[in-house]
Amino acid sequence: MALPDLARRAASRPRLPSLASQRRVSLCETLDRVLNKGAVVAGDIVISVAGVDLLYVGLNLVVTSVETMRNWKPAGTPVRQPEPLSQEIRP
Amino acid sequence: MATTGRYLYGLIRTTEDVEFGDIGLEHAGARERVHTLVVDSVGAVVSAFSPKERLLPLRKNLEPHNEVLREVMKTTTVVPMTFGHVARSEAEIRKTLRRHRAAIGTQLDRVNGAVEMGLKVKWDVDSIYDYIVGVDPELAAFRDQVFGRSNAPSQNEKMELGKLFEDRLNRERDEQTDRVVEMFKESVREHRANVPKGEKVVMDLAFLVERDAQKAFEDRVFQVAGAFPAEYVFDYSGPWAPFNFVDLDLSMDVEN
Repeated sequence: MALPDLARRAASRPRLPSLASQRRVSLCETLDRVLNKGAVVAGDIVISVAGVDLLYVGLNLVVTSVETMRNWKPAGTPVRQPEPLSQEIRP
Repeated sequence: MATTGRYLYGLIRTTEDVEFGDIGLEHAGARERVHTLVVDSVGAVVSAFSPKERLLPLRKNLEPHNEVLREVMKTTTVVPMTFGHVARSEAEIRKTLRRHRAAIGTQLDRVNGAVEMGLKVKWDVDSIYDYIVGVDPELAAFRDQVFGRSNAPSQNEKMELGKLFEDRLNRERDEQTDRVVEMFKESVREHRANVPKGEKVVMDLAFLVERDAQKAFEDRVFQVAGAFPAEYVFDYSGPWAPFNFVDLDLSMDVEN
């Protein structure tokens, strides 16, 4: 099952090792760009993978529910708290 | 038999073939070699991938897409493709490049020498409702009026209060976004404000920043953050390929 797999990974502090500054970047940030933004070719010249848009809607929901669950924390149920996904600056 | 299919990561300006190493999407059990297909002065960054193979937007597929773009960005400016483009052959990609030469050139010029930086600002407060009510005495007074009486508020009153709250929240977002964008004006080439996802997200911005000015941009983030009260948390990310500054839909049958 694709979606739960992604959701689990979303909570596990993804990291892009090629980042020189070793800043953590959330999977959400990557997903948002790689799936929603960028140049698009369609038509019969190049085949776009069908269903990506639809799947993304699903992913979004799963990622959102993971966030919600994390905030929810019912008593007695340990929920792993990921470290901040990217650099946090407080004034 | 090796596939003739090609996965397309992005477009760069080059007159000769460039090799980026075996960092592409996995195909037939190994990370594929990433290289360019050059037409005139535009190079398509590709690796072998069968068009018959299923390509799901899983992390194991999405990360190579982004990693390849990062690698390409080390040496040149790239116009990133959205995830999921597979052509049946190199010839198809060359044909597309030729056909859309003008549009691709315009787009490459737009982002030339720049990278994208992301900036998300959030309210670090327990309740966004209390926070917004706290910055608006009128809203607070209305809330007290609706909930302060002995009888329970009507459905209409609750809806009206909810609407007022929503409007006030969005106004606060817009005002703070304008303020932040203004403060970055001198440090960036372009900006784009995306719709905030999440109630505590104040703004979700993308900036097109000169490649050489990344450090200055980061310093600026700290300066700007310093000008805001403690409940504003600034998260920045990047450098990214300029995903938010690509306006290139090659689906139209444009003849050049």
